[in-house]
Amino acid sequence: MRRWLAVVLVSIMVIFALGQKVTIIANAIKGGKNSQVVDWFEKYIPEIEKELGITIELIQTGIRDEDFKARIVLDIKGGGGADILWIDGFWVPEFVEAGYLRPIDDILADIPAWKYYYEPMKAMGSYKGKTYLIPAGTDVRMIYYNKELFKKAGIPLPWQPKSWEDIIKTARIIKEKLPGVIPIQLNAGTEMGEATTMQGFFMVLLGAGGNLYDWETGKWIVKSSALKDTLNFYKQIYVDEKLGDAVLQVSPGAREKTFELFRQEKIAMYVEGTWFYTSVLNPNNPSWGFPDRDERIGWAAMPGRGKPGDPEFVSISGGTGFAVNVNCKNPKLVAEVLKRLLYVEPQLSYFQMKPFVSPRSDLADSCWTVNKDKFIAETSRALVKYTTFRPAFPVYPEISFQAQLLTERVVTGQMSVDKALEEFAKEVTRIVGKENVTEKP
Amino acid sequence: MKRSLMGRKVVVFLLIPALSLIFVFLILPGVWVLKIGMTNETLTGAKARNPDFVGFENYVKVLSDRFFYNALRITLLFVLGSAIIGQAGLGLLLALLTYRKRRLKSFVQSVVILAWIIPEVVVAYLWIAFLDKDYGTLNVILSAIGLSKINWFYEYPLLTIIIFNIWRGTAYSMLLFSAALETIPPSYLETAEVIGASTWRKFKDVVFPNIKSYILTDLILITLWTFNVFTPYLLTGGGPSFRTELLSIYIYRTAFRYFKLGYGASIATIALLINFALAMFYLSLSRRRKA
Amino acid sequence: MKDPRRTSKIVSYIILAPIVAFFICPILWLIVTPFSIRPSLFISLNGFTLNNFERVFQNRTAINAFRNSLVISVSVVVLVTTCALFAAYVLSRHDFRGRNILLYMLVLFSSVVSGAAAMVPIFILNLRLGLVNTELGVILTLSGGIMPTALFILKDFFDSIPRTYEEAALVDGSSPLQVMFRIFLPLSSKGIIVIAMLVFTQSWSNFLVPFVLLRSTSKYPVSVAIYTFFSEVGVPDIGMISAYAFLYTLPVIFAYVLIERKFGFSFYGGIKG
Repeated sequence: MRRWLAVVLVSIMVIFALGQKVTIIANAIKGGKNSQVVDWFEKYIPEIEKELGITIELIQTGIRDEDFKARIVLDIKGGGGADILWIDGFWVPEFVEAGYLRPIDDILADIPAWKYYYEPMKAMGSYKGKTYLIPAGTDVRMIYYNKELFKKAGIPLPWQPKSWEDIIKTARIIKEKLPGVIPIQLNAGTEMGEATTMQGFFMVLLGAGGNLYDWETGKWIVKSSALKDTLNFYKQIYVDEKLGDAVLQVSPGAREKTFELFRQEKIAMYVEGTWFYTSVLNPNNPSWGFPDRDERIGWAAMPGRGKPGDPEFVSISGGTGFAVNVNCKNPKLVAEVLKRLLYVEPQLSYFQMKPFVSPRSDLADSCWTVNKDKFIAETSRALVKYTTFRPAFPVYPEISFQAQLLTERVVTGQMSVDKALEEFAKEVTRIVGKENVTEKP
Repeated sequence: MKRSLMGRKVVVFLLIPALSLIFVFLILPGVWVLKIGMTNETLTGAKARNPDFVGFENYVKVLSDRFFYNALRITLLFVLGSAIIGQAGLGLLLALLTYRKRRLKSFVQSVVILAWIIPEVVVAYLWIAFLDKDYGTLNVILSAIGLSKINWFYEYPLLTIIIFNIWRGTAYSMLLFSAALETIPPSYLETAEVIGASTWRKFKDVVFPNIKSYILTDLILITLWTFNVFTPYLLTGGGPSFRTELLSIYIYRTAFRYFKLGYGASIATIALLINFALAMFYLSLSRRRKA
Repeated sequence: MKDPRRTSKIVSYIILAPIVAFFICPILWLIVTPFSIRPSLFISLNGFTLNNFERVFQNRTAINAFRNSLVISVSVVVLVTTCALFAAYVLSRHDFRGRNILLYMLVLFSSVVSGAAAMVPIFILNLRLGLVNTELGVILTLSGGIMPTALFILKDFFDSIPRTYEEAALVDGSSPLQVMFRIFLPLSSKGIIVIAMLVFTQSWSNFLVPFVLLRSTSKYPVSVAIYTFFSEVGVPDIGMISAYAFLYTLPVIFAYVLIERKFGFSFYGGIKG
C-alpha cells in the first residue's frame, strides 16, 4: 500500500515537473579546471533527467575562485542564479547573512544518506543552527615534490622534512644543483587569493603554533611571535635566499602559471592540497596532468617550525559542496535531484574521478578499500589527525585578504616584516574593532 | 525672422524620450552614488540586507586608505603620461607631419583609427600576446636582435599601460588636430614661408594661436576619458601588486570583488568630484582665454 | 638645388615610419593568427587554414553571443538614433536659451559619469528596477550613456542644414511633424547613418556594462564571451580566440569604413570648445 502511494506520488510529481528545469553551477569546465567534475555531472545528469522528466542544465565556468564567487553573489543579488550552487564551504556564513542561501534541513530530512555524514562535515555546512551546504568532501594539505628533480639533485627518497630548516636545506640543494628550477612554491600574495591563505600562510603559521583566531576568547590575533616567524620564513624563502620566485606570486594568473611550471618540472616542491594531486596533476587533466603522476610526484607532511612545543606536522582543511540558492523556485525538485546525486553509486564514481577525503562513513570504507585509492588512504591516515579548519566567520574573507597582503608586502620587499605586521594589526583592528582583537606572546 | 518651426507641446514631446533616458540612466546614477557612498551597504554579509546610513564615515576612511592614495597617484601619472603628454602630443605631431599630404594623412589616420576602434577586449588580448614574457612578438624580436627579453608587465607595469593607452587613444587627438589645421587659412602659412620663418616660428606664431581652442577641447575630453578608462584592467588586473591599479580598477575591486558597495561608491564619488574639478579647471582656462 | 618641401617630406617619413610600425605591430597578430595552423602568441603564419573559424562556428556559446551582441547593439542603435533624432531636431530648430550650454554640460557629464565609477550606482539602479540580467537593462544603460554625445554630434550636423525648405513647407500648410518626416529626414540621412554607426560600434564593443549586469552565460554578448574564453583557467585555445576576435572586430571596421565614405572623420572636430 505504502509502495503504491509512493509510486503514485512520484508519478504525480513527474507529470507536474515535466518540462521543468533545474540549473546547477560549478566552477568547472570540460578540458580545464575541475574537468572531472563536469565528467561526473554529465555521467549522472541524463539518468536523473529521464527519471524525473526534467531538464538539468550544468553551467560550466572555469574561472578563478574569487571571480566565481563574485559571479554567484551578483547572480543571486540580481534575483536569479542557478538553483544548485557548487560552492566553497567557507563562503556559507557571509552568504547566509546576506540571505543568499536557502536552509536545506527540510531537504536533508528526506535524504537517507545524510545520516552517514561526519559531524565536523555537517558543521562545515551549517551556520547559526541551520544547514546550508552538503559537503562533497574535504581535503588535507601537504608538500608535493617532484621525485625526478630530487633524484637529479641527489636528495634521498622518500623525503620527509622534520622542521622548516629541513625544507630550507633541501631548497638550497635544489637551487645549487638544478639551476633554472624554482626550489619551492609557497603561495603568497593577493593574486592567488584564498589559495595564499590556505596553502601558504596557514600552513606556516600553524607550524609555529599560531593561528589567526583565538578559539577560546573568540578574538582575532593581530600580533604574535608565530606571526612574525611565519613572515620571516616567507622572507627567507623569497627575499633573503631567493628559493622561491616572488615575481611569479604577483603576476596575473599566478596560480595557473605555477601549475604550468610544476608541470614543466621547473618547480621542485609545492605546498598544496589534495585537489592539486587528484585534479590538477591528474593524468586525465589535459592542461597540467602527469601521465605518470603516481611514480613521479611524491608528498610529505608539512612539518612544524621545529622548536620545542611546536606541532610535529600541520594541515588545514576546507571543502566544497552543494548549496541551494534562495531564489530557487522549485525546492522540491531540487531535493529530488540532490537526493539522486548523493546515492552511493554516483558518490563512489565521484571519488573515483576526483578522490577526496570522504565526508561520510558509508563511503569512507568503500572508497579506501573498494577503490584502493592509495593516495587518499595514505594522506588521510597521516594527516587527518593534524588537520584543522579555518575560522569561517562572515568577516573571515576580509581578514584573509589582509593575510594575503601581509605575505605580498614581505615577499616583494615592499615592507619589512615589522612594518607589514604593524599594518596588518592596524587594518584587522579597524575591520573587527578593538574589542575583538588580541595579542599573543 | 527666425520663427520656431513647431509649438511648445511638440517640442516637449520630442525632447522627452532622450532627456528621460539621460535622466534615469546617467544623471540619476551620477547623483545616487552620493547616497550609496554614505551607507555601509555590501554585497555579502549582514549589511547586504540591512545597510546603515553612516554619514561621512567612508570618506574619513578613504583619507587614511593606502590603496586609495596608491590608485590616485597611479591615475594621475597615467592621465599625465598617456593622455596629456602622450595622446595629445603624438596626435599633434601626427597631424602636423601629415598636414596637406592627403594620401599620407589618410593612410596614417586609418592605421591610428584602427587601434582606436577595435573592441577593448580584443585590444587587451592583442597586447597580452604582443608583450608576453616568453612568446610575445616584441620579446621574440628583441631576442632575435640580441637583446634580452623583458617581462614588461612586471618590470615596467605603469609605463606599459601608459604606452598601451597612447596607442589606444591617439586617434581622437590626431583627428581633432587635423581638422583644426584645416581651419588655418593657407595664406597665413604661405606668408610665413615667404618671410623665411623657421619651422618652430611657424608653429609658434601661426599654427598654435589658431588651434589653441581645439587643444583645450582635446585636453578636456581625453583627460576625462583617460581618468575613467577601465581597459587596463583587462591587461593587468591592476597588478602586479597594485602597481597598475587605477582609481577605476580600485573602485571595481572594492565594489565587485570585495563587495563593499558603500565604500566603493564613496571612492567613486571622490573620483567624480576630481573629474568635475578638472573639467571646471579647463573650462575656466577657456573662459579666461576668451575674455 | 635644395628643395625644402622634399626635405620636409623625407624628414616626416623618417619620423612617421616607426610611429606607424608601433601602431601596426600589435594589430598584425589579429590579422595573421586566425588563419594560422599552429596559432601561438607570436605572429607567425605557418600554413593557411580556416579550421580556427570552423571551431568558432561549432561553439554554441560563441555563436549565441553573436546573436546577443546583435540584439543589444541594434536595439541601442534604434533607441538612441530615434530619440536623439527628435531631440536634436528640436534643439537645432527651436531656439531657447542655454541649449548649447546644456548640451555641452551633458556631454561633459557623460564623460565624467562613465566607466567603473558609475558601475556601483548603475548596478544598484538596475537591481531596484529588476533589470539585472536582462538585455533591456544593458540596452537602456548603454543608451543613457551614449545619448549626450549622439545628441551633440547630430545637432551640430542639423545646424548645417538650411531651414529654407522646412519653412517653405510650413507656409504650404504642412504640420511640423510632417515637415520633419517628409522634408527634413531625407536631407539629414547622411548624419543619421553616421550616428547610427557610431552608436553601433560603441554598444557592440562595450564590455563593462554587460559584464556587470548580465548574469547568465546564455545572455553574454561577444565582448564578455571572449573575455571568459581568455580568462578561463587552463591552456587557452589561441586559434579559436583569435578567429573569434577577428569575426567580432569585422563589423566595427565595416561601420567605420561606412562612416569614412559618408562623412570622413572631420565630424569629430564638431565637439568644439
